[in-house]
Order: sequence, then C-alpha cells, then structure tokens
Amino acid sequence: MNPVRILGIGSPVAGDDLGWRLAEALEQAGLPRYFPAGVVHVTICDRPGSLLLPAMRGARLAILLDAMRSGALPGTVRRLDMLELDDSTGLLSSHGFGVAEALALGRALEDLPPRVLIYGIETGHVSSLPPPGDLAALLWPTIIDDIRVCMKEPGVVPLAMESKQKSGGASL
Amino acid sequence: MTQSREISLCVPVLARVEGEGALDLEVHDGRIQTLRLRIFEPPRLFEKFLEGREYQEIPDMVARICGICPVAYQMSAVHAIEGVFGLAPGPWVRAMRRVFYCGEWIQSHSLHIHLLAAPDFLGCSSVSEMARAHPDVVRRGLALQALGNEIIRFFGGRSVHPVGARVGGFHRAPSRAEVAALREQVRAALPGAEALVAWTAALNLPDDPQDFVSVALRHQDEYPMNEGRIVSSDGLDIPIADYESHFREHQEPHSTALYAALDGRPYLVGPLARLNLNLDRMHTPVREALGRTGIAFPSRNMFHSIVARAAEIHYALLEANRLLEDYTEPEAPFVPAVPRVGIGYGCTEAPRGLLWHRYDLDAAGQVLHARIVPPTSQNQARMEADLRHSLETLGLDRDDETLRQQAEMVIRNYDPCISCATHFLKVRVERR
Repeated sequence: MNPVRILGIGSPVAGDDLGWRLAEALEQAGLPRYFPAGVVHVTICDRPGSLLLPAMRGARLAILLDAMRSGALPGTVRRLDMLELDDSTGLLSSHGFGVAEALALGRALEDLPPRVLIYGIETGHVSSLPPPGDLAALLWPTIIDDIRVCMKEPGVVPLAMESKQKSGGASL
Repeated sequence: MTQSREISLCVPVLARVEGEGALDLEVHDGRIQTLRLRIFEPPRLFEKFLEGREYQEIPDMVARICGICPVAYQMSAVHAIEGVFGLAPGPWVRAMRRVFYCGEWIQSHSLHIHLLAAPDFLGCSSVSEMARAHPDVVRRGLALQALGNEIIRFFGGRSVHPVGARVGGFHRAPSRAEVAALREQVRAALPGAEALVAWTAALNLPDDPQDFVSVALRHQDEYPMNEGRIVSSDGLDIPIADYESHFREHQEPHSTALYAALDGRPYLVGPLARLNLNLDRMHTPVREALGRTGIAFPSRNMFHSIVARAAEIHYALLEANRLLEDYTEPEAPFVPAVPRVGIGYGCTEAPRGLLWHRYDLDAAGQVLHARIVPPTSQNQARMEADLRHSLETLGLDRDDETLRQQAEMVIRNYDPCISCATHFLKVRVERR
C-alpha cells in the first residue's frame, strides 16, 4: 500500500486532461524513483466522483492534480489543503459530484487520508497552456517537500525501506 | 383577485455533463398556465458525428455520449450493426454482454439512490449530510457503486467510456481465475443489495399515485436488458424495428432536446416502467424481497422508482452471479463481422430506460445515417406532466423555495442525464 498517492484527475477532453498530463509528466520525470520504492504511486483518474475515496484509501498523503477555472491566467497553480476547499474553488466536476463533493463525503465518513493536498491548475484554451513538462517542473520542488514532510511522520516508510534509505539506497 | 407570477428555475451548464436546463412556470389564478422543462442535450450531435464512420468505430464513439451509461450506448449500437450484418455472436458473448450491462445498472442505480435521490427523502441537502446520519448506508451504497464500476472495467478495460466491446463480441475474454475472483465480490455484495430493497421501501416516500403509461422491453423469459419487444402498459407489443411507427419525436421551441410521444401521449421509461411490465421476469429472491416491502407492483407512484432501482441492483447481482457460474473461456471473444448494406435497429434498457438506435450502413459498413433516441428525451414530456401534477397537488400558493425543492425532487426522481444539475436549480422569481 503506497503511503503517498499522486492522482491526476480529469477526462480525455482537451483542457480537462490537465491533471492527467501533469501526473504523467511527473512520473516520466522520475518523481516516484526519487523516493524509496513503493512510497509514491502516481495514477490518473477519469472523473472518479465518489470513487476518489477508494483511490485514496490507505494513503497517508494524497496529492490531487486537477484542472481549475477561477479566472486566473492559464497555467496558474493554486495549492490547497483539503480543509481550505469550498464551493468557490472552481475545480471542474463530473455530473455535479467532483473533488470537493468527494472530499466532503470522505470527511463525513471519516474515510480520508490524514492529509490531502489539491493542486488546482488553471485551465483554458490548449494553446494558452504551458507545456505539461514546464508545469511539472514548476510543481516539482513543492511536491517533493510535501512528500518529505509526510515521510518524516513515524510509520510512513516501512523499516526495511528506512534501512535501505540510510545505506544510500535512495536519494532524498 | 387575479394573481400572476412567473417562476424561473435555472440549471447552470455543467462541465463534462454539458446538460443545461431550466423550469419556466407561469401561474395565473392559482393554476399553472405554462410549464416548460428546458433541457439542452448536446449528445444529439453525435448522430451527425457518426456519419461516414466505419462500423468498427461506432462502439467506442457512442460510449462517449454518456459517462454514466456508456455500456447502454455500446450495446444498442452493436446489436443494431450486427442486425445489419446478420451476425450472431453466440451464447458466450450474449451472456457476458448481459454481465457487462449488470455492472452498469449496479453502478448507475447505486449512484442515483445514494448520491442523488435518498437525501431528498431523509431531509438532507446532500449525501455528505446524509453520510453523517447514515454512514453505514452510504458506505454500502458506495461499495455497490464501486463493484458496478469494477464489472464494467472487467469487460471494458475502464469504467468510464469503456473500450472492451466491439461488433461481434469483446476484444478480450477474461480468464477463469479472474472471473472466479469477480464472482466472489458479486456474491459478497448480495446480502447488502437485498437489504437495500427493504431500506428504500422504508423511506418516507410521498404517496402520490398518477396515471401514466409505462414502456419497456419485454423478453420471452428474462428481465430485459439487451433484447426483447417494446411493450407498454396500454397493450402495445411491437418489434424494435417498428419503433418509428408508434413513437414520434418533435421539437419544442424552448428546448434543443426532442420530445418523444407514444401515439401522441407522454410515457415513462426507466426502472419503474421496466419493473411494472416485467415483475414476473425477476429472479425469485427479488420478487420475495419486493413482496416483503408491502408495495404492490405495478405501481402508479413515481416515487417508487427508488425501490425499483434497488430491486434492479439486487437482480443484476443475482444475474451476474448466475451467468458467471461455470464460466469457460471461449476460443475467441468475438465473431468476425462481414459488412453489408442495410438498416439495423438496436434497443436496450439503459439504467434510465429505453435506448433506441438505428443505423443505415453502406456495403462497406460505413454509417450513412444514424438516429439515437435516449431515455431522457423520452421521459421529458412525462416529467413535465409529473411536475404539473406534483406542484398543483403540493399547492401553488407555497413559497418559491418549497416549489423549487418539490420541482427538484420530481426531476431527480427520473434520474435524467442532467439529474445532478438539478441539485443546483436556482430560483429567480419575477412577480408581476
């Protein structure tokens, strides 16, 4: 069970696939390999709705990447703790049940990871968006820090991984 | 004294759903003068997109019409195309298509019952509020929904816009080990599904019988999904190819969605209509579970739709369990198609009701013309009739917020493709 999940949320529709493309760019750039094996898992979710909850279940930290419409310049990134999320955030939703609704349901059911971070990326016309690789590079240091903070918590990294880490098995 | 007021209920456009609706209501002297449910359905454009496309592309293209019921679109399409080609995919494909469809009913109905409809009957504004008071019920509902999605993914490769179906069958046959593991999940979910039937029937559902015509498929010995004749509670009994002779669609100026009528009258499609016309085709445990509720089916209470949905979840799990028993892997998961010219019809039971397709193909299997009649447009006139009846029964002197809530509840009960949008109905009141 991976303690850190990075989930790109969206659909194949151009512009709405921003979360997917960003997740793929982070994986291709080697983000999971930056940490001990099995700690970080990157995946994409197609309009998960309430199924976002099982996708995050068991994680200590979930990082959600999703397209956002708030009127900012395309490519603008907004980082939110789930506790800050409200109806005015502008995250795009599927059939009226989007990330905000899924997190509200998860809170009510006490079925959420201890920490959920949302990276909302302002979407727009495809031509006006920075390439996903550039956006991934922009997010890289912050996400690395988010994961490091999580890994300092006791029990996040299994003992076997910790010894490997201390012996230089992974670059942190 | 003459009273005149205009109420406008506006549903904003939703991303990905691309549904937009509003309710225009004019009341004079305590009576409804005008009631228009306006729905904009961009999926209609797909019929034009399909023209000129190869038959192999159609299942994947029509799956894009709806994120909630893509299997229904795929199944109506492949049956229509196979009808043109004279293709008989055989018992393995037939059975697995039925399991595939069970998955869609389970996920769509579970979503609607728990996330959309049930909060109305529990005095909750959302499923999150409902989850605080009834956490175990919501957990059970989410687990059923997830299992439905899993079944769709099992055959379709993914649960949203699946890609596993093709003309002639499936692209891949699951292994016996995979089927055994899925069947275990299905069996484990059965007690919860049976309990859900009783739970929905025990809700505080309004008792408001209405006169309406039910329309559904009817199969000689199965609860209908992929095959059957079109029947009605008024005695209609026709092959699916005759749909256009009895059902007419027409345009209303206020809506981009077409209205469908049966011999000039509104009619109901969907789970309540299906159950009303096919109770005797349900598996015995479902009939027994329904019998214990004390509700008599056929029912004229539209709010019994939620009970019908629960019964269909129970049925779909039993049916999937039955069809996956003694599973054997086929030599090939599909039968090759040989294109030929002709007109084909497909009519299957989407979670929301009858989904009728017609394709005119040329000798190479390219689409010359396509026609798709989705359930939501078939129910649109019935929804308006229900709204008129329900609002008048409630009392038009009620305040705007009460009228809006009642209108939302009535619309949601049909689970239209804009059902989620009705959560966001906004009231703009203009008084004259």
